[in-house]
Amino acid sequence: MSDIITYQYQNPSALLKSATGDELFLSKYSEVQKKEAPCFFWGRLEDPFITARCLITLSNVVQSSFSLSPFEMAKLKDPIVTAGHEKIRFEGFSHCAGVYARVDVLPGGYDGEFPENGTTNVDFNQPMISALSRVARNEKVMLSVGKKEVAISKGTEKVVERKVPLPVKWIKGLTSVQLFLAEAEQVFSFNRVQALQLFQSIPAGKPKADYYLIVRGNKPMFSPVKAVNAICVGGVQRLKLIEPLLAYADELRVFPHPQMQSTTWQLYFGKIRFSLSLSRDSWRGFSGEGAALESLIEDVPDTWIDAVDKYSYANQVFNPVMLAAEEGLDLQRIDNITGRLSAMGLLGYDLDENHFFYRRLPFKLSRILSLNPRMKDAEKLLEENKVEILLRNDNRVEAKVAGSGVHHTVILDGEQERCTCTWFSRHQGERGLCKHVLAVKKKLAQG
Amino acid sequence: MSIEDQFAEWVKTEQEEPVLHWLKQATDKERRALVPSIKKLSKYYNEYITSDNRSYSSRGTEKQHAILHFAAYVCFNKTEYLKSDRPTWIIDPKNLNRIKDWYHPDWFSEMLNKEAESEFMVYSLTYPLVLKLTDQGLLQPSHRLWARTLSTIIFQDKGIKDKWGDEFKPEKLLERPETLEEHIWYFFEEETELHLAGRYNHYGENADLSKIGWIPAFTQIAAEGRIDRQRLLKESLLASNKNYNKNLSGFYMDLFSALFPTTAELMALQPELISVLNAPHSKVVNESLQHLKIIAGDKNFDSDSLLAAAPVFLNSKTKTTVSAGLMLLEQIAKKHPGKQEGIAILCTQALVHADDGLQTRAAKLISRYGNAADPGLLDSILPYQDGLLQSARELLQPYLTIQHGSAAVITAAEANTIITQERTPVQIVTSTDELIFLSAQAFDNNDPLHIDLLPAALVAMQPKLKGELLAQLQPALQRALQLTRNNFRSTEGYYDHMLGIFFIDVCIHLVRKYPEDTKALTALFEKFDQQDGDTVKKWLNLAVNDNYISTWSNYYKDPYYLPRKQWLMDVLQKIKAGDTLPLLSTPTHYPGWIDPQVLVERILVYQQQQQLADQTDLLMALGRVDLKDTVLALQFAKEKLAGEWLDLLVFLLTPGAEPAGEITQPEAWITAALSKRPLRVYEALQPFGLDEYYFKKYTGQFSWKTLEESFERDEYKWEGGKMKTIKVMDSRKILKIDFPKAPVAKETSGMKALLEKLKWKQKERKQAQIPLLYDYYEIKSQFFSNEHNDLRRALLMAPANLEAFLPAVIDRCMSRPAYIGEGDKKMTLAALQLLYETWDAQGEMAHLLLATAMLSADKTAAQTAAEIWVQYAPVGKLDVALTGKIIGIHEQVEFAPLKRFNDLAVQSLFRISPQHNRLLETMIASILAELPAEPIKHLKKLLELYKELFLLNQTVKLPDAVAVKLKEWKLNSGLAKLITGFGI
Repeated sequence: MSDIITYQYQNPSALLKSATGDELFLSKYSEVQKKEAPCFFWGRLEDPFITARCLITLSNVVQSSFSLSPFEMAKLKDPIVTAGHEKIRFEGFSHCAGVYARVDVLPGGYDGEFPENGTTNVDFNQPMISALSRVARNEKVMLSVGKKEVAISKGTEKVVERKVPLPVKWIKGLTSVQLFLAEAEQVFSFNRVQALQLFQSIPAGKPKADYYLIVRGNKPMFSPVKAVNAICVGGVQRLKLIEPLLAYADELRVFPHPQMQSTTWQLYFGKIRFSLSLSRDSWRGFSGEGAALESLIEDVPDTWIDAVDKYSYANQVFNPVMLAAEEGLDLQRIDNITGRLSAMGLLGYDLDENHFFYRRLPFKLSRILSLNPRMKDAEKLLEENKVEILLRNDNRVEAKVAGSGVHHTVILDGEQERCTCTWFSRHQGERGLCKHVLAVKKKLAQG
Repeated sequence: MSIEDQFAEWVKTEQEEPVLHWLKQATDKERRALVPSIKKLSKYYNEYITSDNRSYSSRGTEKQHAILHFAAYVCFNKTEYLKSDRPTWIIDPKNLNRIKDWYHPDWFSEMLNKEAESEFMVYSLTYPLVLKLTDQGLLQPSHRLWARTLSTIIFQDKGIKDKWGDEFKPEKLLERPETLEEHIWYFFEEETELHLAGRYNHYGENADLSKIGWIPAFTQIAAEGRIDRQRLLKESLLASNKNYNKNLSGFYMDLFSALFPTTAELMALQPELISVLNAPHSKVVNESLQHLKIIAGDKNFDSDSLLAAAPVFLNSKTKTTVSAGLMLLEQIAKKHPGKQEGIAILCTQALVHADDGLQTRAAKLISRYGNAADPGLLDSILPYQDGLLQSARELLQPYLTIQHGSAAVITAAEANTIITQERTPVQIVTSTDELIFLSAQAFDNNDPLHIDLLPAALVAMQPKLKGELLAQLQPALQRALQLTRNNFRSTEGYYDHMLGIFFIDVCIHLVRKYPEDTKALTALFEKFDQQDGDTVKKWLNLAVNDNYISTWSNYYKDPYYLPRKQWLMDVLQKIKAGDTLPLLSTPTHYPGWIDPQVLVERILVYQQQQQLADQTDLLMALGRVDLKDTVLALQFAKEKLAGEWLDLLVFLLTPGAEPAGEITQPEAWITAALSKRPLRVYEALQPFGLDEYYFKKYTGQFSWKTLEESFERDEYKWEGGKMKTIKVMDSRKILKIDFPKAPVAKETSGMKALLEKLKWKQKERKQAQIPLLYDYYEIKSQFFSNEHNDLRRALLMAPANLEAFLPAVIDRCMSRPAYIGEGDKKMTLAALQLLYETWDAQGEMAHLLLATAMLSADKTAAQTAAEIWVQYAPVGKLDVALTGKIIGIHEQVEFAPLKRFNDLAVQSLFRISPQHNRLLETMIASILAELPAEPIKHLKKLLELYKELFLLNQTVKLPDAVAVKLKEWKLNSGLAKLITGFGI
């Protein structure tokens, strides 16, 4: 498969001026949607000023990078939009795939219609972003995702074509971050002043040390030392991306992952939400975390995926139990379904509602599935017959797996999985299973 | 002869012309067929060789490389060529011109455009070249390629042979019309290094640098009407807010300002100016505010848009931004009475800053324009009430609804967030599974205690270390062997290397003991045997009584690694001897303590077996005993132990006890004495060398001073076209610790003294034969690499007396106002982190480290120091007056800007609890008492904070020493008003 992806937009996105008010036209492109691009949303934004600022912040996220030099960065990856089920969600990732951002425009945040539903890339260009920063408080702004039948732009049509290297890390990050979100729990809620105080304590520069969010009295702050019940944040300077929004927010909620492998910072502005999720550290992208690997061990039948794809529509709540019941699927394997579907780019996660929602990434499925090299390595180990199960009883499995130059010991003991390889030794399972454990588990699953 | 052989011959004999001729007439197929040969020959001619073992160069000559580059360019496909050793070679007119007429790949443009994306673009890719190739239809340049090549065009080399000199030539921009019509505008689209262009050039001694560079070039062409001035203004403004880096964004704003926009132009650019207020860089925002200030009074000024953007600048972390923003709002309020109430509400947002000046200014605007009956205003002030400083509080009294501070008051205990409530036990290895997985990760520094746990496990598990289990050590041995090839990770240190070598020694022992079961290990050793000149260095080629660990050292031979090395040698010996008696020093709970009861149990085993413990192991154990609760352990020791063991443990575990009984192991007794608190000299130990000097040395309590000293340094000056080095006198501020020399007996002098020095251990503490751990606490490294990953482990050899190591850390890492290197910073942080976890009634050195860290430029270090203060000051373990005094002494010479302390105090020490406020007041009083009569910089802010605390704590009387200082400073007009507020 080509390692270049070509975004083809019929028009550039733009904030168009008209006598009745501005119109924010977002041009869309999806490599999986073959038919003539329909319009996903058309209507009035209730709070265009905040929506515009959230979109600028999202654009800052997708343009940022915390572990690559600017020259290493590939070209801008356009954010994706999911419209349907009375919600419009904009998602994006930093270049380094360590920062995930989403803007949710909820019912009440707009007044308009969803002629179609779906997920698509949208063109984010600099002139449009610059224009967004000029949206004022009481301005009327229409939003259209995709082009409505009646041409809204009288200007000359101009096809925008952007070839970019396939954003592998980006797509993989979009799939694996959802599993981190699903495990996260809300720990703190701060009002605007507290949020501002908290951000004032973010140290200048790029501190390499972890920082811990603590609350003294009712004042939250970041401290460089571990403390009781503190939330650990690596690469804390990345939070500054949402600093410009704080002054407008009603509330900031913080959702850490139970093992502090990620943190999510959600700002609330009435019917608009902005979420920022940070990976464990600046140099770690969500893409490399391997959170979804476990759920990929067992193959989920294609019929399930077809069923999800057929019956679900954008932003609809995904209910695995219902699906299993309707399709007559094995209930014991339900846990794997969500993981697998997320890894395939079919699900997103809503922290407030505490559920997965359907959204199909606008990339070919074959692309997405080719993105788990550790799983591929595990399969290769099996193909080459390098896995030997030495002992297998109810609670314990011992195996010998040939590695590079040595034989690794893999022991699965109840919930505990261990391997003597470098990856496991360094990360102790925090960043997903190593290829040796995966291979052993896959072999066991194959019976 | 085949073409491959012919080609090889041409390369060998450096015949360029026949190669070019052949390449020109060859078919595509013939060219492709030559690819393997080109790759093979390139590899051969690129290899580095030496004839004298001193200098190295590639095998090929310049001509041979050129032939291979031409061939690669013509025969390779795009991917192959771009991956070849120097694809930019062809982007040079002298090479390209010889070939472009008959060979031009369709990926040529892509190659050049890609080059424009790289961090260091090849020097030969110039604007004239891009123009020429474009004219010839050979190149379709990207905007970025235009922008990056154009950025150097106005700086031209003078071209004088052997002389370094450049000229500023803005007229170069006029040579081609498209330069100004099209290409120059790409600067505003693409992120370049425009602000740095020409920075290494030299324009002669008398050049006026303010008239050279892109900003002068732009202003000149704009003044001459050669470029659209309105577009230039607009584009530079927009470019200043395009998420570029701070300096480049600032450059575009400087350009905008340098064009001196008129009021009419500023009015036309209102939306852009207001949108710039959202920029992430304060310089850009500030300048935009200055420009807006000029037009804010205009009747057509869009004040509504400005007010909508106000929250961003009012919440800015930069004081000048907030201040300028408030001024702008005041200007608008004066002009538009109808907007005054809304502005008053907006101004409440500036109350978030814990800064007296800003709060007062905002409060004045609120009280002037706000409506006290407006519930919206009251609601807006409410969240800020707890954070109001005294003057703002007084101004806003009519608007305050609840009693001050009630919501925020917490006790000092509630502010305590440290994890000390429960001791986290260390998992001791008890099964073979655990040993296998521990050994596999032991060299990763996943846990600083692994260096204790792995050897302890290997000793304890000896009876099980045989048979199939041995082969499972293979991955760990592989890691250890890889480490010997300096395969370091950023989180690893020299201890990991040391532990790896120890593990190799253990494996060699196992290979010899169980040759049949260790074939996998033997094979691995052989794989790592290394060619050394003519011989092969075989790992297993080692005498039976020999080992690798004894030859280990780090590059600078730092003494503090030696005790651990000795300990590992002793452990290896134990394993070789089949001795399974437990190690005494293995910690039982984190960060590195031993439960006294467990220590007594371990000693009991030695007593029962009538064995002596290894010295280093014993000394480490005694430096690790947790003496917080010793009742049960003492009782157990009294029941079970006998002789000197009993006497020693009773002394160690009984608070206030004196040494008693016969002392045959003085090192153990001295170490025990140094683990006990309060620290003091014991008469009974003085005959063993623990005199005043060694007591100071072993507890780290040296005297110190902060001073400003003169020194001579080199300066480089450009004179007569040449760079000259001249000596100049300069001064520097320095923190000096006085390490007194060891007392030398009077009768030793001359050669005798020299011989004594060579036997330094015996000399240093004459009465004792065996050095203490603390005798090794010395840092010799000139530069740090991974030592910061080791410091914690070094300090954890004896956490009960870690202060003994601090003078070395302070002297090596903190003696200057700024860290000399990243390593110094990380070392300081490692020391602070452990102090945070273990602080317990420390002496002056720990306070010196803490106070100096509070003035550190590194925020992480300063904040860690602040956390130590917050946790330990209220429980009386940290001397706030001493900390203040040390900061005051530093500030006598302004060792570091006082602002650093002021900011830290406001951000992290102020208003935590009423008790903290009183302690902070005491600490600041101690600082003030030390300061000179002439006010130092930033004193005013400190006095403001002191006054705030004075009023908040309702202190009745100023300390005498502070009152004296305040009287002296009152003579300064800038401070007089503030000091009057103290009633002086």
